[in-house]
Amino acid sequence: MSSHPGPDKEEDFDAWFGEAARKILRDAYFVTRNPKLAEDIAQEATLKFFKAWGNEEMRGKILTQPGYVRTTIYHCYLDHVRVPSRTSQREVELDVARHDKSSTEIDRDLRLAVLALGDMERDMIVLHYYHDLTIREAGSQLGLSPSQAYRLHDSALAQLAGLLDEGKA
Amino acid sequence: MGVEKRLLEDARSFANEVTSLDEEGFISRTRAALGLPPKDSDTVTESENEETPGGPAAPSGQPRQGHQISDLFVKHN
Repeated sequence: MSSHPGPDKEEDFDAWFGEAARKILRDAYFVTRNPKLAEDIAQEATLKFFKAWGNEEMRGKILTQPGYVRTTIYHCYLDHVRVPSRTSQREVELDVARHDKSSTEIDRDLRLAVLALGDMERDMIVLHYYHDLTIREAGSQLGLSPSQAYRLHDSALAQLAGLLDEGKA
Repeated sequence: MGVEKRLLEDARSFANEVTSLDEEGFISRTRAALGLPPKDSDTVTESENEETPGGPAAPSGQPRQGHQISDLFVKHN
């Protein structure tokens, strides 16, 4: 993979970034709930997209798969909080708390449970509840038929409830 | 409280919080850090920089202190 897209592709990247930047920052804020950390994570993810832009296949994924962009942002966050050995849910939680002492009312357990879902389930929850898309619209973005979208939504809620119950135990 | 209700409440809170993000500042700083040419909308005044949630003001056209994207290039290569 090239480390720089090259001058001919830079303009394309610039145009894409102009469209996607706010969404990238908001997705980063979704996981961090900390404006400073969100900007760091968003910048790190943007660098990855910039470096990948010269590769046609990667550029195609960035342009056509919003889920890929979101997953990259979430992975940047997890990389940020990951300790060398392994990251536990508790470690992630502690990091969030460390970075976000002022926002005690934030439902951190819920946010961490959403991040622990599979990619499709997580994207359905994020798109429907946090990006204000209908279940059908969210499903369409994920390449699903309406009936598949409703099933995914129900399954994601059930998994989320399970994760939150586990957290209480 | 049910999961769906928690999601709806958290999403409402999220929608309020994101309005305070310095999106223009982020775009400007990130474009500068990547070496992309500045645009008219990238001009950030000193007073605006002081208001950014990302910490101390950075010189115009520079990433925030402590987070240099060029360093990441070196690290990842």
